[in-house]
Amino acid sequence: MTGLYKKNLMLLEGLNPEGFKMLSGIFDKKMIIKPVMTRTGDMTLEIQTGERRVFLHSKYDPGKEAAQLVGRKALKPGDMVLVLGFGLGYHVAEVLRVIGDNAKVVVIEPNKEIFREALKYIDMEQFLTESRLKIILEEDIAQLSKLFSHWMDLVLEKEGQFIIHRASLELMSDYVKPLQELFLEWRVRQDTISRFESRLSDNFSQNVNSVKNLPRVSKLFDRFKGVPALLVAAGPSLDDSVRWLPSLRNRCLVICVGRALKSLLNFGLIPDLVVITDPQPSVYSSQLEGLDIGVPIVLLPTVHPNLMRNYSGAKLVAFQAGMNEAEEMAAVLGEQLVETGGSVSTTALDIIIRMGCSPVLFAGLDLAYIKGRSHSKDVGGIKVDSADGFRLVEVQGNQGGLTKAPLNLNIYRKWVERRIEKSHGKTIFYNLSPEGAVITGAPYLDSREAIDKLLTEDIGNQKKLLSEICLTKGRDEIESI
Amino acid sequence: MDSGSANKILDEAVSDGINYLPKLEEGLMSVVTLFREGQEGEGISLFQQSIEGLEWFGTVLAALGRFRDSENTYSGLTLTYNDKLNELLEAWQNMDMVLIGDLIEYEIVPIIDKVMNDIKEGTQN
Repeated sequence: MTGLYKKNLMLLEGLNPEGFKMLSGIFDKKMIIKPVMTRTGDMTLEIQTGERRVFLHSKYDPGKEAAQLVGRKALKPGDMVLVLGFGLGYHVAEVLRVIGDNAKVVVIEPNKEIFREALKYIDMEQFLTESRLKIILEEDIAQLSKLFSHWMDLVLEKEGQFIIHRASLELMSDYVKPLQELFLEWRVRQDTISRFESRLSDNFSQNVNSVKNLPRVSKLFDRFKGVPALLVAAGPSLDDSVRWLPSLRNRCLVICVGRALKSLLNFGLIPDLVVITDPQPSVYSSQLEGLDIGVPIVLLPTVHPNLMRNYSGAKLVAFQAGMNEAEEMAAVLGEQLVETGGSVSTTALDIIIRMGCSPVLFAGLDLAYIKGRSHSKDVGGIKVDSADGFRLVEVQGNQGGLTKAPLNLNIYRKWVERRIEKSHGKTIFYNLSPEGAVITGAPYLDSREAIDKLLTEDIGNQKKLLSEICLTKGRDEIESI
Repeated sequence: MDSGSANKILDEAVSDGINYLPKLEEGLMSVVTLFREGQEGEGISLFQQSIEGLEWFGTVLAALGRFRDSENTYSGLTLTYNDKLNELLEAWQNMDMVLIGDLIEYEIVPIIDKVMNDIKEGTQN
């Protein structure tokens, strides 16, 4: 035992007895760990698990690498920061350097084998005696889950930051792998938000004046209680739905996402409402241009201004929760917020539930890859492989076996499940996608059975009502319908 | 291929390189930043797009070594580059984003930098 290791262990025993106790337990030794001196004279670890070898930190300049990870978070003095993975502490030191005196940093390290290595190679005094820092060493999945929820709630409450040390996450032990998925999902969500953040704000500021004058989606809320609705998303199963979709024409409200619109029109089915949330400039040209169908669309105030300018049909605006400018404007206008759940399909679902529709049927909401495809052919649903940017995870399929879904679709599925649960049984849901992922709360139903048993009545009047409401502007006009 | 036509092809590659190499380097450094900032999804996608460029650069480097290498500089660089490219592929197979970032920033980009500077100097002289 080296002097440094001995000193660190003594410090740990005195200052973090729970952590010390953890290190006294049995080690699985599933890793082969090799210390490597970096070009800057710091240490890193090369870790082998099975056939796979990865570095825990840069073998050239771990300090610079840590600064890049932490720098992106734009931490402010006094922030509360939750860090997953201590590693050898470079990123933790960087966080402490930038957040000032009144901050709090909590590090959860789920891998005691790696933490033990940190004690061997890093002088831990700077960390263990640091009053702003709490290091939690925990490998039990139930405890980890509790700890994560607890600290994440605090971070969200204090508008703090969550930093994942990716290499540590990758090296989490097998028995805490289910949590790894959760952490990765959190990351995908954060990435998606930050990727579009500036575009959302730019679009919003350009749309402000138009948005003020648009009718609002809440005009539709609670007006369609008990009316069946079909939510059409652009998953790959939409291609096979051509056989039966047109037969639903007058039996339910057909509400689709923008990406599914062209497919529906190809099937000869004009939807009653289209939902569009994507802020990209290409949305108008790829989804709406040249269609001349005048179907009402529900859009977020953050869609690209060219869509706002060029679409000549009725437009209703939906203010999304979670976007400051949209929330502020909704508050000024006394308008309800909608939950977006991160995708257009989830936004459409929230709107349909608020409209009061039931039962709600899902078509093309596969939330998984089908035969290696991500989307319907009409929207360029190209073949994807496992190295396509997101790791694939296995999920239960409606056919009984397992199917594969990328993390973003998995997040949306969980959101859909939570939203269904939140509707407290007031709305009934069915999933018509035979090969898609199982959505808890929306059992699979064969399309023929849905048509024969659930959608037996002509709802032409309700469709007319929806169209009329979308075309009216003022509150008085709506109440008179 | 005779040395005349090889030189002609090389001239074209060098001329392409003046425009392309800064873009390749910029793209690669974006991969590094995305990986280090934890945005693997975008980083992987951009890295996949860069692979063709890395292969093209390897070909140019080898041609420089064969036809314009009075001091054996490029032959040595080609060997180093190929070694690092192999390491990069291994890191890719292991999904070792830390090592991918390291190899790009500290091994591959400096080689691209050197060739870029040589080309600039060559066109200026």
